[in-house]
Amino acid sequence: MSRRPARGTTALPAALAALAVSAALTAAIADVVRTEVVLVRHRGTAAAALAKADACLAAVLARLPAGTDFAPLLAPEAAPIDAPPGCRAAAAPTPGPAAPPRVRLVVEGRAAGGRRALEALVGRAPAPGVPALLWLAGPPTGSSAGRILLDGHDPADPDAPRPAAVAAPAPPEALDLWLAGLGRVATPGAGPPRFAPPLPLETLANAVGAAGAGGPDALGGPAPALALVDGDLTVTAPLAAAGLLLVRGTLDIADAFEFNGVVIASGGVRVRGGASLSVRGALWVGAPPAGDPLVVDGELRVRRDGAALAAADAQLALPRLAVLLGLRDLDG
Amino acid sequence: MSGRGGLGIVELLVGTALALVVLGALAGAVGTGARVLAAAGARGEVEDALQAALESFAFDLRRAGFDPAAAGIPALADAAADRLTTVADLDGDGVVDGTSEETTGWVCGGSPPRLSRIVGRQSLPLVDGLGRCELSYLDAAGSAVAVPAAGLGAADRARVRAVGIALEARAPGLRTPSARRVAVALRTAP
Repeated sequence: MSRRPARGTTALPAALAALAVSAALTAAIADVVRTEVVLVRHRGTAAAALAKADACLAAVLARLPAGTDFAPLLAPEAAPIDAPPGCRAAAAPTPGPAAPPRVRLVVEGRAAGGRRALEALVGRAPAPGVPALLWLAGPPTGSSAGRILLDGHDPADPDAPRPAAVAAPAPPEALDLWLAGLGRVATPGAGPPRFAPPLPLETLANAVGAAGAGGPDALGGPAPALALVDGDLTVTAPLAAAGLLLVRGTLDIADAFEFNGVVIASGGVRVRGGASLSVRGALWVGAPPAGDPLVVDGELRVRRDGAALAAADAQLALPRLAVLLGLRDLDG
Repeated sequence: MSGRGGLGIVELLVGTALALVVLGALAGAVGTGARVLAAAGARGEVEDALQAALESFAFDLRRAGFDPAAAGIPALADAAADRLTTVADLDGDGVVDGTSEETTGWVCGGSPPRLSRIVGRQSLPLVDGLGRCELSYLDAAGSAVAVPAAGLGAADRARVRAVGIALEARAPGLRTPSARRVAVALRTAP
């Protein structure tokens, strides 16, 4: 009779002790899991915010206007830097010498409840202009009953990166659709359309004028030359020229016009039926006040020619895209 | 039985056997739980250490070659299969300070292998007991740059556009190692 209570007091405490140890272990495992989950969540937030900051920087860089320096960004009256939603960017001067041109950008991105900031060092691309055969100032419009050839091959430099067939401050898919809708368009050796920021055509025109460019009479020789036309230019007789031609109005081609270098028409380009415009280098077309910027009823040929671009750049420093020179994370 | 006021030997044996089964199951569960706890803790610790090392590695590589004063500072001062030194002009004075965060080294070495981050003269071990710790260098085309034993020369370092690191560590008591690898593109202009 006296042994019964003893058996009961041994089994129950043992079971309770085992239960307590199990509960403690379960709690410890749950704590480890919770800690890992919290860590993973925080890492995910930090990674998303960092990716956002990188995306912000890429978008801001792509939208920075081409130029030869960054003075417009650093001017006291400068407009805020164009940044996509969830991003902020501010410009600041760099220490050290003024050349090469560069600027510091502090870029902040917010995503998934996190925030990351970075400081980017931005300079100008070594290559002049836009890496495209045809640049348009705005979303593409224009008709073509004629033939367009945008040839990215450069026989003198077969290893050069392929230029885009067309570039504009517009989504590449819109450019692609526009090209496809034009009809007789061929783009051998050229890359797909790409986004490109605005080019400072008016600033460039002023620089061309200040550099002592000749008028339409400066055209007509094989030697590269600077030519500035204040107004429209109509080509009514066969003409071949080289260098840099900037037309502040419309470039109207009514005969055969061959050019080695860069042709810039702020007011658009029209190639009439039976006429042809052949550019070895690049063609930049501005936005006319009314109408389509590019109307091709004849034949338009633009071929890549690095030497012709370099010769035009030697006449007058062409604007360049902004490129990343370096960065550092401000809160890593 | 109640009339007899006690337990028979059969009842006692059955009761004891049942108690032993229950206690054995409990002990087994407790033992399994303890092993799971230890494994989860060890795995978590190794994973955290590897992830933290990679984040720190990416942080250093992203800023390598930061040169606001245009002083011509290269991104990599030393690059070998087991070590790497990045430099950056963080204060914009045009000079790289070898005793500050402007010079950061990464070393895979020791026995057992250990990954260390070296800032100036201070070495910070990040992951111990590594089974694998390899640095690799990629050019603009994404091809691996062959690394001689003495490390890359200046011309080859200038070709490097991305740096990779592969880490593998086995937590004590675990059969499957934890592994991480990442390639970080240099943000300097080509």
